Amino acid sequence: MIDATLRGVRSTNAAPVHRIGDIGDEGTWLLAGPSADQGPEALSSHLTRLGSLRPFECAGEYRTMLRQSGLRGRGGGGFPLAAKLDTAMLAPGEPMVVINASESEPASRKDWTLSAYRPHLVLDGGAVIAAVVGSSEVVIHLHRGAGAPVASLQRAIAERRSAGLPDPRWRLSLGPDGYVSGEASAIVSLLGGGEARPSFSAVPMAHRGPSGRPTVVSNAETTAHVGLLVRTGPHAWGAAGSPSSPGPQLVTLAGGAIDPGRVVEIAGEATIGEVLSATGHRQPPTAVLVGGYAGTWISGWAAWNTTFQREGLEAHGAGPGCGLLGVLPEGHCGLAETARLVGYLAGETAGQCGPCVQGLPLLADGCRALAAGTLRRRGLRRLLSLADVVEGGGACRHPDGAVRLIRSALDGFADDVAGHLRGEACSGAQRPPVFPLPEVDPSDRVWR
Amino acid sequence: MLLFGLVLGVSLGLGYVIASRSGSLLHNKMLPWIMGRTMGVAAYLTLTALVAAGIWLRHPWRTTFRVPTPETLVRAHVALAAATVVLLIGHMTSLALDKYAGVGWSGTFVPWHAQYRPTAVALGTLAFYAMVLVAGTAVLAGSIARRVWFPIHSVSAAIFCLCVVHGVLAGSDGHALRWIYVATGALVVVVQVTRWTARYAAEHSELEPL
Amino acid sequence: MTVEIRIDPTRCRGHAICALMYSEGVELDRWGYGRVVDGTPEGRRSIKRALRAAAACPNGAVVVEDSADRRIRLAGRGPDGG
Ligand code: SF4
Ligand code: SF4
Repeated sequence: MIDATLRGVRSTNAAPVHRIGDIGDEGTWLLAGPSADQGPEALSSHLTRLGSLRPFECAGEYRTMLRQSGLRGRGGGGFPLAAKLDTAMLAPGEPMVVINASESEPASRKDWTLSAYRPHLVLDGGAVIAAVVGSSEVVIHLHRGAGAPVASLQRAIAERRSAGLPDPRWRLSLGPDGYVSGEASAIVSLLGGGEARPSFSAVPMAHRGPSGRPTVVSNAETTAHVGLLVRTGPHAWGAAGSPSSPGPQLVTLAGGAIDPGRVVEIAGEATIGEVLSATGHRQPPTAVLVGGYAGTWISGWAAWNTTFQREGLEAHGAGPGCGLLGVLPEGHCGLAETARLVGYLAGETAGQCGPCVQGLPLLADGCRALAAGTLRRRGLRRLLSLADVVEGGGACRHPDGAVRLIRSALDGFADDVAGHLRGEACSGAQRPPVFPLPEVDPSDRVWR
Repeated sequence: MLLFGLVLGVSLGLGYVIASRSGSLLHNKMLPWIMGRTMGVAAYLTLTALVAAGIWLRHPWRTTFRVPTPETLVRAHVALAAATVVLLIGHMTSLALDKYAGVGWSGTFVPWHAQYRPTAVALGTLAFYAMVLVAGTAVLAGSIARRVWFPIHSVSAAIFCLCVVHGVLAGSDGHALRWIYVATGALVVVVQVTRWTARYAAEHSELEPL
Repeated sequence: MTVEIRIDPTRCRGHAICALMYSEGVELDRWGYGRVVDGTPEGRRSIKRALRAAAACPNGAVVVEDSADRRIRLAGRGPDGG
């Protein structure tokens, strides 16, 4: 499983070091340590490797480090963590700290990988955040069906307890599996005794969450970075990224990638082409899907030389999102894949906001018609105006993500769109889809 | 305002045509009587449109039609309400002033005080008071009536029924106008029933009702 | 005082009242759900109309807050319905 695809392109004159590594590889940051076949890293190994922390004594120092690091949330929003913590500290009440390890993005595996193999790094980060904001408890939230990470985290918590680490209280929370149930405000509302559906507020959660307390939610990757950077120091850590998105980052390969579900770490800057060739691809695919299922399509050639970092992706109207890098192989129809993904997103609405509930199914119908070659110019115009209505109409970003995906597909596959509008036969649409969708039965949908 | 004028004009015209065609105006050339009849029928027509627009506004099927847009629909609803109130006041004053109608001021405002078909007239009086309640709370929505205006709005169902019965029983030409009552009543019943069933279906298909 | 008006899409059921009362700042989309186009009413009349819209919405979806301190809710229901 572990091949040493360490691409150490070290040049002699202080140019940035590119490293793309798997779990356990030399030169990685978050994924360093034992290889995947050794299972979750034990506390003893973790402490020998990285040293122990003193969260309560050093809280002030850690806070400064977090601020200097410029760490941004790695779940999609990309909000600076230090600013969130500052808000929570200024707000009245004891902050609630939540590690979101639920990773609702169907194809993403990075939070899963970290929780399953590096649980102590994640918990260390949680302890640091709790100490900084002055909270005595940390909630770790996972989907009920998560499997390995739950066991790994449970074991890690027990280990830490018996070792007597200076930790906050840990609480594992298991929630429903749906896509939007992993959204931060949905988790917090579930923890507050409500339903795992997003809620609406203009007040930032860090100031006052749905439970009334200031709430800091960060996902497993972000939290693991916290555990790491307080040891390496913010500068060394930050240098393993780019000025606009400091620090190393995790990428999940998906779709038609050679090894879908594989998680690699990029330290330094790396182009999408470099990531793909490090994982066995020889040439640009038709297109890549960046940032998640509600992400952005970029054509393969354009993507190949784009860095998988905030500023590089922004030029294509994309963002790193949850770190998903999906591959659409040669000969597959991007419009058919888009139609499936939009259909999935439509089914995953939390059923609260009118435009999301009414609009997404119509958008999905439109995309399906386009993929099937039955949509005409007028229908496309209607689809676009519908997208304008739906955008920004929900309490969470869910409908906006679907709209972004559709727009990028219409842009990126413009030639195919023209063919489909003329009703020409598309051989790609007949092929089996490459992006897996979770089986969802709407009657099983639970919100608690 | 434009909408209001339009509604008022159209309904008055229709009311006059219907009232005169039904024959009852021919025997009595007294102005109050003509006005009372015309405005009564007109008010009934605007009321039907008012209720239908109100129900349609929250009908799950509405979105399949692009026109009227929800904005136009609410504005029409408000204009119809205003027209209904004006016509109703006209209807009541003209008949109260009419010496031969056998209603008078006390018959108009106190239920069962009319000499002419007391029960039938009383139903209209009651409907009027209920309408004052519904319209008043709607006008004061957000200030005094805040949110309660909305539950109170469901009283309109009773108002509509009262008005149909009042029209049939009190109208001196109930027989001639029966097709109008049947058609308008059926219209309102159909929109309301389909709204229930469509909403029930929506609730049971995992989506929130509109 | 500067205020801000917002519509909670999770509560809005398309009663269209907000668009009648605060017509200068709310539009209805094709389904009749309210969408704020001008969230900061200016002038006493406008602010008053915004406050009325918030108090009248049957679902309490319209919320008016003091924009200097968003914790101060001037009209509309809270997330807990209270
Ligand atoms: S926008 Fe959609 S997914 Fe988000 S809260 Fe509203 S209904 Fe739910
Ligand atoms: S009045 Fe309330 S329910 Fe109606 S459209 Fe406005 S916000 Fe939505």
